[in-house]
Amino acid sequence: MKQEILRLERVTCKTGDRTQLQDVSLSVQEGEIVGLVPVSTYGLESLLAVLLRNEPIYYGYVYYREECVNSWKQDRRGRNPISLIDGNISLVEGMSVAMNLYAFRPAKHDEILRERQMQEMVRPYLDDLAPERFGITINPDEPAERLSPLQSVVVEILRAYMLGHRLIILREIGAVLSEEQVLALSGVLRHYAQRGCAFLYISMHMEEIRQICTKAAVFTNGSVAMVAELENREESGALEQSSYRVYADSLYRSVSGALSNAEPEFPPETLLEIRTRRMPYGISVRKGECLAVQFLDTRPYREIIRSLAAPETEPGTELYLHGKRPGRADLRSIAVLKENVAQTMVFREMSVIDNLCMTMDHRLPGIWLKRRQKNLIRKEYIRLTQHDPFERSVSALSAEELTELVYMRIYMQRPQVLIVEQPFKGADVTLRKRIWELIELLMREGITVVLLTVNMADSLTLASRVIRVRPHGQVEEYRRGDFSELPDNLPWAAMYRDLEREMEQQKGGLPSE
Amino acid sequence: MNRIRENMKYISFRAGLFLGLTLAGLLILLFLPEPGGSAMQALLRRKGLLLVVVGLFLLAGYVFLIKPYRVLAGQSRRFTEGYLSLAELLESPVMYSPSSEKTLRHLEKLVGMTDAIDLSKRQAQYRALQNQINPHFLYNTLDGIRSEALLGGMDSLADMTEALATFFRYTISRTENLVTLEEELENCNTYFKIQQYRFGDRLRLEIVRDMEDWEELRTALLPKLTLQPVLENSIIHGTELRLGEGVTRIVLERTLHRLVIRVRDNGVGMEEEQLRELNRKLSQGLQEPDNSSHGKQGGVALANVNNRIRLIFGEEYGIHVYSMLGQGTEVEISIPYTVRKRGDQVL
Repeated sequence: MKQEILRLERVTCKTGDRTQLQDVSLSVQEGEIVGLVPVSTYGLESLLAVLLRNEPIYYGYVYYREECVNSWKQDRRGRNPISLIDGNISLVEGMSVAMNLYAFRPAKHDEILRERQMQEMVRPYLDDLAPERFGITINPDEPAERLSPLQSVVVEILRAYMLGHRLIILREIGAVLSEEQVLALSGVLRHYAQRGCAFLYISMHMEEIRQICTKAAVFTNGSVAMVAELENREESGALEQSSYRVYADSLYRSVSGALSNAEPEFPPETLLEIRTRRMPYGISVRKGECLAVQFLDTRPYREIIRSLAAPETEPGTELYLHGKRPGRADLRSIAVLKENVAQTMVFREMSVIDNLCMTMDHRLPGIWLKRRQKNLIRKEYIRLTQHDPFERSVSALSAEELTELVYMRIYMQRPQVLIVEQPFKGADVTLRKRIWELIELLMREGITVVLLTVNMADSLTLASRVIRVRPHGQVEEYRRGDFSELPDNLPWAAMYRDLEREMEQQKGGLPSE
Repeated sequence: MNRIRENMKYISFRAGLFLGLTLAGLLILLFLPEPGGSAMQALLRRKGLLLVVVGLFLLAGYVFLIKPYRVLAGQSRRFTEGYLSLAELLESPVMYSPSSEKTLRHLEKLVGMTDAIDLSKRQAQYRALQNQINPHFLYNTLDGIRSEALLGGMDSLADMTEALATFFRYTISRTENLVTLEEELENCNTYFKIQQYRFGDRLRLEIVRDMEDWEELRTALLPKLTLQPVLENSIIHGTELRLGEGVTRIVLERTLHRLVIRVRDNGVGMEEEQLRELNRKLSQGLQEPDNSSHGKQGGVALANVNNRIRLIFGEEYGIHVYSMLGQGTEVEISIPYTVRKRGDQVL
């Protein structure tokens, strides 16, 4: 008999007349790693608020370690001993690992002043974890800012464990880790699961959930629709089908169509080339290509991101367009989309139409004053997206509409190259489908696309070529015909393998399985 | 006169404190000795005190007027949406005015009377039906059919009749409300055996249990006929409509305080909206099952079982449904873990 670490019984949450959570029932037992797949992220923030801070609930009960901590009958606030770890590392910079681990303990703060004693206290925990077993080395003296994302996540887990938190929520950790690191993290989670912890692993990717979790739940529109034991093949298959149903079919059709066609030919000349200090050989892309670059170490990724935002801050970074450094005239030829465009690339004080037209000045000078042209653009937008957001303010738009607006801005801008940083990061299944469609639309218009990723997510389904950058700058290159050779745990790689096998069978006249 | 006095009591409870605090603040201001120091200092001190009084005024207003009003509004909303019964509304920590409370109590009495009449009517109908069936006559007849079948060499018919007799014996003759999980599972197996005569190999039942916990699980108590209606629901509305083999799994688990039973099928599942509606009704509980939904998703069977569990064990327990269209349905039954101790009365 296991202890039930978390039990949500018919939790309903309302904000005014809007129902954020509707009859959410979920149980997490000691030693379980439960995956939560948000098909839609609506209500997810409320769920986390209820779990972490005991936000008032309209109906239902919340139990932590078999004790009722929140219910509709009582107005009890306060934090639960539950930790949330997400991509934004919360370790204190300038403090060592040991200090980060020790400083947050509720008592015995005087050891902080005696460094050796503090390290002695931390060491048994590190020895128990033995991170080397999972290919991770953690030096207790290392300053927090020098840790890799994987090391930081492990230290955060260790800190939660030392604080006595028996439920740890990991939210979209895969977005900052490569698939090899996800595998290493899986070992760490299992280690602490055996020590009596339980994990709620929120991820948009079933591949990741399957790799890490023992049980999974589909979260949609503020409810838990389905729970499945992943060891049971039938149940996990049903879960996968249901969480991907909204877009797997169209994706499968598109990829199989692309595979059955001959591999597209691209002109031999390089359109864009990027070199950085950590990648002296650089990456180059040709016109019409969709290049997915996966960084197995986040440092060169961060370096590129910083250099794209402010090239002068990153010495050693060089960017060439048609073999030349881009000048002022090339300002609109290269477009960059940051992570989570709905948050980072929209100007909320501007109207929707101005947000859309803001990078069109090179195509239509003085567009700001030309109402007729704006109306034509508006009509074109509605024709392409089947949505009319123009009567509303930007703040009233949903994440999907905002994402659409940003990508359509690029469509109107028509750059030669579009560089997208982690396009699918933080997007639920519905939004991922929309992003995928929008990037495809841009590619059809002849825009060259470079996808910069740490976790490949769905980028493989769009790419015509993949470059994997290893920790010391070594580069592996895969053309579309070689995608089936990519590692098993890479999202969608298995689909390429299945499709290839199917095609070979068809060619050889063998019956398919 | 009495009513006025009662209402005055009610008002004095909240507003009295509120007004008292305000008056006290004003009195302090009025009778405050002339402060020493410069005129500016005196003004500042007075202003500071005024701020304190206003702060206290607002705080008292929130605690004694706004907060109780919010609680009352929230509970009324829950009541109108069906989450709360009238009795629960009256028990909840809400301050009513004496006349409102009197009205509600009277209403509760009237509703209670109607319920009691309904209940006794239904009990009378059930008894009449039970008498009409005459269990002994039924079992003797079924035994007779079984013997004839055996003599005629029709073994499967004999088995089927035996299963039917066992099923009726459990359903009709046993009068206790709580039975052990082992007995419920036996009844499920019997029911499933009867269904298999109809569906053949198209149906499969799997019972998954942790053997380490089995000793504790098998003696756990649950209301009689909790599992069979859920299993029937799963077969009729889930797997029967599916092409190919229908698998129903019953997973048994226990935690420190709970017995959890999951009945999962690989049937047709249901639409998101339909699932939300079903779970909403189950959360609201203790409502008359809606017969019009019968045949759609078996709302009646689930609502009946859910109501019985909630009546016996409280609203923290009951049934919750998980489902996705085309992917099957899982019904989770949650009951507090209890076992019958030696000398306990049979309920």
